[in-house]
Amino acid sequence: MLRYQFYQQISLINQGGFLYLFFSTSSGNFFNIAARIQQSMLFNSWNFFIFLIIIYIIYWSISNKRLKAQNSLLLIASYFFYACWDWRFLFLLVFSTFLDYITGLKIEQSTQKSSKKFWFWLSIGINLGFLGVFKYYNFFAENFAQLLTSFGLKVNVQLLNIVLPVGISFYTFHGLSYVIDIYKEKIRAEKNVVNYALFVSFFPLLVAGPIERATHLLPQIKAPRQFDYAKMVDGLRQILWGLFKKVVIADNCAEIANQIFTNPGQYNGSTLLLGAVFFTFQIYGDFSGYSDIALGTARLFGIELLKNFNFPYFSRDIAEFWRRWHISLSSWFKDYLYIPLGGSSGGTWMRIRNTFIIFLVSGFWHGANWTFIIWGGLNALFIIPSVIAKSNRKNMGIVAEHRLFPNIKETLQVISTFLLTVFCWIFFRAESLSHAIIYIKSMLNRSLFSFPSILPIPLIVLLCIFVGIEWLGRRGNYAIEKIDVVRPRLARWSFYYFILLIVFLFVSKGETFIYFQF
Amino acid sequence: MKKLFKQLILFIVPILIFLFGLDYLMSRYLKNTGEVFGNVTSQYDLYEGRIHEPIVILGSSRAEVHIDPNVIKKGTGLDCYNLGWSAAESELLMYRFNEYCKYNPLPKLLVVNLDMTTFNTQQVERIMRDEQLPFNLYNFEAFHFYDKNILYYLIPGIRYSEKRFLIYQTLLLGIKNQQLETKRYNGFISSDATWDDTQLKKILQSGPRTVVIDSSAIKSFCSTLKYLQEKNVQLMLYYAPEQKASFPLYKNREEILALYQQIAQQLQIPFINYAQGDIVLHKEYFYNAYHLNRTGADMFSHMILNDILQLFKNKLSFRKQTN
Repeated sequence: MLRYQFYQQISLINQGGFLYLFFSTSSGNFFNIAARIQQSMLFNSWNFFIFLIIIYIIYWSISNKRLKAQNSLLLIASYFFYACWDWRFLFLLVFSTFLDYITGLKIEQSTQKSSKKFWFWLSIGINLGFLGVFKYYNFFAENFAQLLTSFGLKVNVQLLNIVLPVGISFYTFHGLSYVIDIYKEKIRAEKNVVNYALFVSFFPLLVAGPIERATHLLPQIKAPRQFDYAKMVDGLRQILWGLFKKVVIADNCAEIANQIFTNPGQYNGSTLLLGAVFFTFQIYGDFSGYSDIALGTARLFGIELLKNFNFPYFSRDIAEFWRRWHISLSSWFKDYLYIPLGGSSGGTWMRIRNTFIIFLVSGFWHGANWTFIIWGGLNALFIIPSVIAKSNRKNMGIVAEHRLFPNIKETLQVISTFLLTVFCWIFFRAESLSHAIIYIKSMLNRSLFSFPSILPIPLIVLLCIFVGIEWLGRRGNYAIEKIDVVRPRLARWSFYYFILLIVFLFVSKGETFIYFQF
Repeated sequence: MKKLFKQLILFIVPILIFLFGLDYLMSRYLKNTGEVFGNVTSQYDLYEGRIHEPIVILGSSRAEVHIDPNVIKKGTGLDCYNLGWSAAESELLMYRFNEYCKYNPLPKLLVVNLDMTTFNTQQVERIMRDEQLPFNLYNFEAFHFYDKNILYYLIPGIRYSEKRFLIYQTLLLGIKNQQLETKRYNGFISSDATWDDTQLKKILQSGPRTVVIDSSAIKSFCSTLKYLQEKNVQLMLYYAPEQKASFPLYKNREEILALYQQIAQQLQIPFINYAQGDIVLHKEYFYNAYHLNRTGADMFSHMILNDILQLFKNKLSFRKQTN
């Protein structure tokens, strides 16, 4: 199945009327209601907006200051939210939660090492087993069959006709990190099942992260949460910015990028480069927009999630880019794969090997397709020179931190890093390796220097405004965080109204979030 | 929390003022846009209850561009309105007709155009058209039919999100107090274009197809016709001519025409099949495989007129006009 059919399917069924349910459904259980809403709980949908308002009001008014009630409400809301995607997979989520909850307790209670190991590997095996079956079985089966065919052996491989449960890669990684941390005695097992279940299933992070750690999230879940006006406003502001990134930047870029990527042979090199640049902004707007909405939403409930993006396109080298892009996943792989493999403590070859492993696995985590593996491999390739030269931690701060504009050297570094990531994203976006190769071949020729046949001026203007705002706000946690200090209020609000007006005028037809497929 | 809600309300008030204002201006000035955003004039006629014509034509674009109400009026002495709507399958036809009935009196004669795909309702995506937008606020029939989020129907202005060009054009005309002309007469619009089979060739390349009939759509269509019969509305069904080159496109073409005949017999409604007349042989009457141009439409309108005169001479009081 083409990867992008997934997006189309989701957007086609994303038409349910959430509020209508409350008008028309006099009876019906949890699953009935969830099934009727169907897969319409996208963060950029009205359904989610109404869901959020209802849960928010109940959360702070009814259950204020009662932690158990707050956590129980959030857990029920999270399960409802997940059931709206596909209620059948709720059982998988609940099973995975109980598995890790019980194995966590068993590991901690075990006095013998063998017993500890047994429970540890049971959890790891089942968790990875689920991922293997749902996400990777068909990939391995197809490639195995192809391999045998190349040796002259014909095999008829049985492929599974199953849908990938939304968010499985994310909640599985939550569970894995929890069990590994208990096994390594970094944390204590959580005794309260509601607390643990909420750690795994908290709805803002359930379907596309950030990938949380028990050490960060569980203490917040267990601590009383008080209403904080400043935090609420900050959360709303981050949601607004995330929404702008998603529905204005990502979705409008998607329209052009999809058009160009669908038939790369029809366009000249400069148009194809533009298509890749649009996809570069699409994926950033899409995923970081999602993360902003998730972080803002969690903050509304008094919970701080891990920061997932830190203005990655202002990076001066690929190593810096990876410290700023999908931070929660990068740090997960660093802690649970790179460091156990020896990290950077060994010799040069060991560092190179470990870097390749971490990037290839990271690519494969994104999807069972060779395009993702090549994407990971390319990133590793681009980062290796700095690993060899031990300069990969050179650019740790913010570019032009105390200046308005970067100097020439920084500008060239940022542009060259950006172009390298644009090149890598071609593999990420392509349907297959051959598609990517055709795209690159058609792009890298003389026509690269001709005038693009598609030049959406309004979108380019929007992108310039967007990049400008991101640049000005790069010192904050998100681009418009510091707008809070702008006085008078009218000026600050005028900016919000301006953003809302652009959202109103440029909202594009509901593309789903790209990372929901992972 | 009180402070937050207070601030939120303060913040939302200007947004609501903007949305209400936008809604008002769009509803007021969209009628000035002529044909830029579709069949706007008919929509205003329909929702403002201005369709009092005793003869009404209902159907898809093949009704919209085929039957000239002026020809019918001259021949019968009775006013006629063409409610034809592009890409309308039976459910959309019935929806449009229901909306018509809500705001206008029932006609004396309803002439219904049927197409090959009229009852192929399953694959049709219900897209809200720009021309409908002014009339959808608090229109719950539209909500049930289109099944978009109910907030689009409850909160003014939201329906116009993403419609940058529509808003810009409409408000610009409003500010200039300018009205674009429409060549439409009582819903009918004709084309001077000449024969072009590019699209047909493209479609034919993918091979002949079978039209899937939705029996529930037929059922609901028939029950509406029965209701109209009870209300003494005269009915006539017809199948408009298609250029002969398009015949191979549908495998079950004959079956569908037979089905229409059967429906008409069951309901005792005349069904006129123009699918095999001389007109289908002449490409000069068509601008594409399924639509007649101005010359063809004029000829076909006279054919329809003759059939109306013959079939309903004892049931309707015609007053033939001499000029």
